[in-house]
Amino acid sequence: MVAPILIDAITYSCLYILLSLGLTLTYMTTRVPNFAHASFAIIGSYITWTWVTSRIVSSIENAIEQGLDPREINVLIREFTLQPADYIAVLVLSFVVVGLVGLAQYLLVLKPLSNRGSTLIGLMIATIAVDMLIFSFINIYADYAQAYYNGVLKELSEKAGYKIPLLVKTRDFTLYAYDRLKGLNVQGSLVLLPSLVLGLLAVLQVLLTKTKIGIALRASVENPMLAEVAGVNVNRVYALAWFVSAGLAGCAGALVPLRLFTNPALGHTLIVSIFAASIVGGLNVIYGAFLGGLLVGMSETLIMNFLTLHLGLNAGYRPMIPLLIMAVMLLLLPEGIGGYEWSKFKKRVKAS
Amino acid sequence: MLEVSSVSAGYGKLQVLFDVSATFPSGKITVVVGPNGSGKSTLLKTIYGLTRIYKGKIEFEGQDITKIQPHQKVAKGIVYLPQTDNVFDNLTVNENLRIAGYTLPKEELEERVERALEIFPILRGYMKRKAKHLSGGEKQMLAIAMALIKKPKLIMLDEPTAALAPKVAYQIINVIERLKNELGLTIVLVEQNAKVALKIGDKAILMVGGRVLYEGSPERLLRDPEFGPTYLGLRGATER
Repeated sequence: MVAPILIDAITYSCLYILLSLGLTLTYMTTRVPNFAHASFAIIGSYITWTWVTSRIVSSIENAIEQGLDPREINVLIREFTLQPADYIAVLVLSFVVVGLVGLAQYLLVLKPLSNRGSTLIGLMIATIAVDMLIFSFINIYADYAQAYYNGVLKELSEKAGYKIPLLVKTRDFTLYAYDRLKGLNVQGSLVLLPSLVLGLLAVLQVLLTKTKIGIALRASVENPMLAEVAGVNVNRVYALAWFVSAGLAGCAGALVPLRLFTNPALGHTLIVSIFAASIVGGLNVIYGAFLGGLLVGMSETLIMNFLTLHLGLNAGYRPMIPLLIMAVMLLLLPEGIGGYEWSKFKKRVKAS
Repeated sequence: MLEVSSVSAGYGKLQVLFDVSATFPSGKITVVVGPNGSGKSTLLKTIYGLTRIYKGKIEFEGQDITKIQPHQKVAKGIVYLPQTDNVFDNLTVNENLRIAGYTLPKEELEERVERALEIFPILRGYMKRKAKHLSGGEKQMLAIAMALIKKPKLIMLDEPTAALAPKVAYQIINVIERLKNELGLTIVLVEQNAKVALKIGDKAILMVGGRVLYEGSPERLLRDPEFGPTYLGLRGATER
């Protein structure tokens, strides 16, 4: 039996790896830190919420059609679990939808501004504006979805002749109860998050070193002018990088409500840890995100647990941990763990 | 043949070239020499479309290429090798060669990589090594090999021997001469080391202050009692 605190640490680490990987990739292509990146993830969270809620509501509709009694409907709601196809559907949907949002941010905001000679500060502020836009949109959607599904449930209750016992909540909600793998007494997200991270590591390794587009991406990041001279359509490669990065954030976000309490502002809490993970790993090293995410996720969870148990500090202090890690890293190793040339360090140690 | 007619160009509002006219004959090496800041590199960048052209015309094989974008020039057989950052340091030699032929079909790319490796057999031993771990000379060879994969008709080299040891620089100059003799390429070579470069050149252009001061035979330029000592650091005709 794995200790719950370790499960939490693994969950956060995987989440930060998936999110900081995208942040690093977009930074490497356009050199702009994207402050909207965490909000991309929250779009994924609301896609999962919508999917799960609509699945439960349609099960209730079917049950009413079949004439099940209130006790049976209560059991149906309580014992509803996600099927493997549900996990695949929310991941694919989130990847595509959020990927398109990221692509739109690159093509409609950053590229035109960059073409007009906007400075880095200007572009950074533009990403904050996009973040506000996404945040507002999620809030509007949350209100609309709550009103819509409450209306549907009211209609169903009238049709059935008794109140359907389903609470529709679009803020501070969790879908934890529905995340169970049948047969195994384990949460689906606990299997999915590490599998997604490991699978991604393997795919990324093959993509970046064995495929034409992957090599073109590395070339475009290193020297866009030379890549252009070689015939690479650098803009298209960057657009792909933004799509994939946002898509990965969408996948991470899709699994968030299965473990954590989610609300539209969660992205603003996560963004600090994601930046910390990217900086710790090295903003110019794709694989650095794996190290950074693991380190920040583990330390954030384990140190906070220690501080709560031994000093009685509450969870409000949690964001302090990634901020401190980020500050120490910027002071001691500004290029990040992945960006530092360890071979030189080894030589220096040997020489001394 | 490449022909530059009355071209004035620069970077934004900073004009560097003033009414430059010159011809670069096919299948020959044209060496562009001159003191620092004379506009040699800017001339190459202008031909390749990397600067702002205020006026004038550039023609290649009778076609006006003044307003054509750099990546379209690759398709026309024109290749430019910058002085620095001309290889991808973090890619392996193999990946560098492959990215150079990004737009080619697989079979053709394999064939051209093989041809380039025949010219630079030393690179065969470094295929899995990252370019940043190559020596200066090896990097230049890789850069030229990458240029060859694009199957150029015209290749423009910006100081390919800069910062190289004399022995290595000599090897690179020999390679450039082989490119002309064996592949029949038209070569535009910008060089600081005028004495060495002019020896392999078929034609010489001397640039000073963004203007062409001399266009003609390299031997005459080397022997000229005024240009050599004043602009190229040569001690005059007696030395040759």
